[in-house]
Amino acid sequence: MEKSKISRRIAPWIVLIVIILLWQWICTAFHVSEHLIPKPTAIAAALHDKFALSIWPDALVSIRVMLIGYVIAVPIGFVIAAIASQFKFIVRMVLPILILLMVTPMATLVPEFKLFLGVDPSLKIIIVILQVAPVVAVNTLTGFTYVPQKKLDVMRGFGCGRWETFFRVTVPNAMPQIFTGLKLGSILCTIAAMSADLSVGQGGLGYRISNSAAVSATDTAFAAIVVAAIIGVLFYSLIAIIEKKVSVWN
Amino acid sequence: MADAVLKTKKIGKSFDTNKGIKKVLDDISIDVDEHEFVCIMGPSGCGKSTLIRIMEGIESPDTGQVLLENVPLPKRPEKSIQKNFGIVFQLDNLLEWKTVYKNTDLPLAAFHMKDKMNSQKRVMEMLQLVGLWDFKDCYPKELSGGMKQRAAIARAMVTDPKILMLDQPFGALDAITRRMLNVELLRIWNETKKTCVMITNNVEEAMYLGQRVIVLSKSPAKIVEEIKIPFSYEEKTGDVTENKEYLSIRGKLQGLIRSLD
Repeated sequence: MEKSKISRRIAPWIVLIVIILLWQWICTAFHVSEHLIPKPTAIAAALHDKFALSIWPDALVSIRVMLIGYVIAVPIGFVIAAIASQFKFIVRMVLPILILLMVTPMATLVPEFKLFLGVDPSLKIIIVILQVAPVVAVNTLTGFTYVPQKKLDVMRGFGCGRWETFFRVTVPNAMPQIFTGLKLGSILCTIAAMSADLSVGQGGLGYRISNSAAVSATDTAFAAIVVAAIIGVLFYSLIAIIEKKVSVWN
Repeated sequence: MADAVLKTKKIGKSFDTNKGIKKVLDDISIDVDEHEFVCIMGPSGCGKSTLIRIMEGIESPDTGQVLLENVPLPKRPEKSIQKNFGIVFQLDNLLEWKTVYKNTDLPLAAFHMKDKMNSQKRVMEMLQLVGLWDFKDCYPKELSGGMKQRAAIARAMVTDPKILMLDQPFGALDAITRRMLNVELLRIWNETKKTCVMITNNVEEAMYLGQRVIVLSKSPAKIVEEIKIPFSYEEKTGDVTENKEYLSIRGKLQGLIRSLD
């Protein structure tokens, strides 16, 4: 039992190490140009050399955009879902629009936003909010809409009104879907922040990646990509850990 | 004569189905006296559940009315009225995100009675009454079907309601567990003398618990027969099943139910 648990923990890391070794070997054996695909060792070296100087400051810019955007987007998504869920005709009205917004890559709208806002520093945050709020709203709304009638009957039996029923039953009943929205939101948040860096500029990991690639510093670009990926994974894991703490009954 | 605590007066109810309007309840009048245990039986799908939902204020009738202590129930009764009902639903209607303790405490919170009733003491008493105090920190999914229904009974009784309304509470349980819970429910009824209305599909259960059994017809449900079960608590917990009168009532009831199906 203990042994299989350990091997299950280790297995994905072994795969990762094998991929890195294979990557290193292919680059060396076939003399792949450092400017096309850098060796893992070169990426590690770039990460070490450039981390304090440029990658970490840029990461901080991205993290700030992500967190501010996420913290604003989540309540917006909740409120949209909460209000819509109480009125069937609103659900039918807003759901297609929310889904449309959810699948639209918001960074592609940057040129349009620039026409209105100029190069506003909050533009990136707006992009993150537009990308995250719909996915939170859609998933939360699904959870809020499908509450078993028998659970609602319990509240009716107590003579509870619409909103007391909502907070006592609808919200906790929807926890799994709420967290699906929060987790998908955390993924889209990372993607939106990076792509906003690409199209807006003004620092950030996405900007660092495109800038380094433009001057053929591919090793630095890859180092920044690695950091971006780690930030995304940590963010997702944080939400997943919170879910475990909150949904103890599952 | 004492007035009935809960009355239905010529209740009718129809539902919109895709095959048109279907009448499920037709002119149902029932009087439930204080401290009485009334069982309602009928073929499956006859509208028994709809009837008890109307009697406990969860649904409203199309025609007729429900009188609680001679006051008609409004369409959406508020808390001060619903306080009178302790409702036990069919299996699996605890809130799965709350522990047994929190589930039992819920009505006290919903009715704002936590201070007045000394909630901690009250919840403890109720869970001890149904033998679940040791499981107070368990979540519903960790409980067996029988334990869930014990918790449901504790939840229904915690506010000390006037009337217990039970909608086929043991219908999904195995025969042995069902029998055990019947024994416990009758003991609780004998100790607390609460007015009870219970829907059941089981003749033995109806005769063991009820003082009166009301039999409904196939949908649209009408009252076909009311049968008195003239045995005391002591007789029921003794060897009543060998009693001649008991056997003849049981035979009659079983024949009646079979003829309706």
